[in-house]
Amino acid sequence: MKQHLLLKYATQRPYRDTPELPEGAVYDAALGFWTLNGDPLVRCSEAAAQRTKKCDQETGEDQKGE
Amino acid sequence: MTPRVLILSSAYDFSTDLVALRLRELDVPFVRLNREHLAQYRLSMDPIERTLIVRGLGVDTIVGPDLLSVWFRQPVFLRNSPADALPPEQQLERSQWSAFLRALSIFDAAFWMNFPQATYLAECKPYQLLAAHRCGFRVPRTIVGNDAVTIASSFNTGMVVKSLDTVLLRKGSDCLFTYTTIAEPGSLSDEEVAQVPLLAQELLCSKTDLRVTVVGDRVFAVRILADGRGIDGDWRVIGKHRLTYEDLNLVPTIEVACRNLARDLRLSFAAIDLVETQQGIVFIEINPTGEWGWLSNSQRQIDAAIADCLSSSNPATVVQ
Repeated sequence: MKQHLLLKYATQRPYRDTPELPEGAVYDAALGFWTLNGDPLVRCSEAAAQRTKKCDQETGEDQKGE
Repeated sequence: MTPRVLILSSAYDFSTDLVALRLRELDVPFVRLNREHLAQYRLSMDPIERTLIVRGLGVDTIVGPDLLSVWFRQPVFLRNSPADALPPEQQLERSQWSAFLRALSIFDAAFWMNFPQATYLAECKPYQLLAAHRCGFRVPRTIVGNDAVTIASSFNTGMVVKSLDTVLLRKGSDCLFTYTTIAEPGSLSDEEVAQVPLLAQELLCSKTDLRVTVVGDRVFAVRILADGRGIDGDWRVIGKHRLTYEDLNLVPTIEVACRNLARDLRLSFAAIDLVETQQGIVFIEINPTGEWGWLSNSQRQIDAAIADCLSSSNPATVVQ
């Protein structure tokens, strides 16, 4: 039996429920953002910001809060 | 002062960090509740007094008396089913915390970005197309359904297929995700289509993708290019290193149509996908909870625009 088109065309990749974070990154609930060595994680470096802004380019838009 | 802004987000939504930092710079008190941390707080909502007491994780505050706005970065329904049955505790956790977050609609006197009811309707792709058409956009010819014969006969010159709602499925230790895919109408068979409906659209060739981000009365538009050129098919399958985002001034009629569409769908935030073709600009879809962190930079300060909108005492767009 042929697969449904949506399954046939689906991309399969390993599931991750949390993104890769720089070592030492900590979420501070009182501040409301992640920090790295006391500084805001997304401002620590361009590389960190790029890595964290969109943890998964393909699905980030669709899995908020799931 | 008690919080002026309530942020309902998730821990790994780093775009929320960008706005949190902007609010901090503006000296606007806010509280951020992440979906993953809810059970670590002790939360008490009074639906008549319209207050929410938040205790735990270093937070001890009451939301309500000074509340100006709510930023709702949450799904409005549980979209994806796990591959295996969840234990009862996890099922309960998923359903009841989601209901709790929706119940924060009691703060209906605040400005919302976006109100859950508006997001719910705006997530419906066929309704988006109708709303965009009503706002004056050209929309692609579209058939939604599971009839291969009708679909094949509707798109003689090529078509794309996409899911009616996001497909993000678990399969063992993997996940499955569907992109917009170019398909050959002549090769469609009933058994490939009949089981579940899909959305089929005319193929738009030689296109350039545009992303328009609407934040209150601000509009940010970019062209999405790979190696300096437009992309056939779904741009999200292209490696990030090849993509560039070029700022764009929309023609007034399209900018007005974007604003009108967001307003008609009662959205104070919207991420709109358009394509530029030789025949003009065509509407593809609108995402009421769309990502924007990948576009925000010092020249394109979407984070600042969102923070301004949430902290403004006279928001440009009151939606609910």
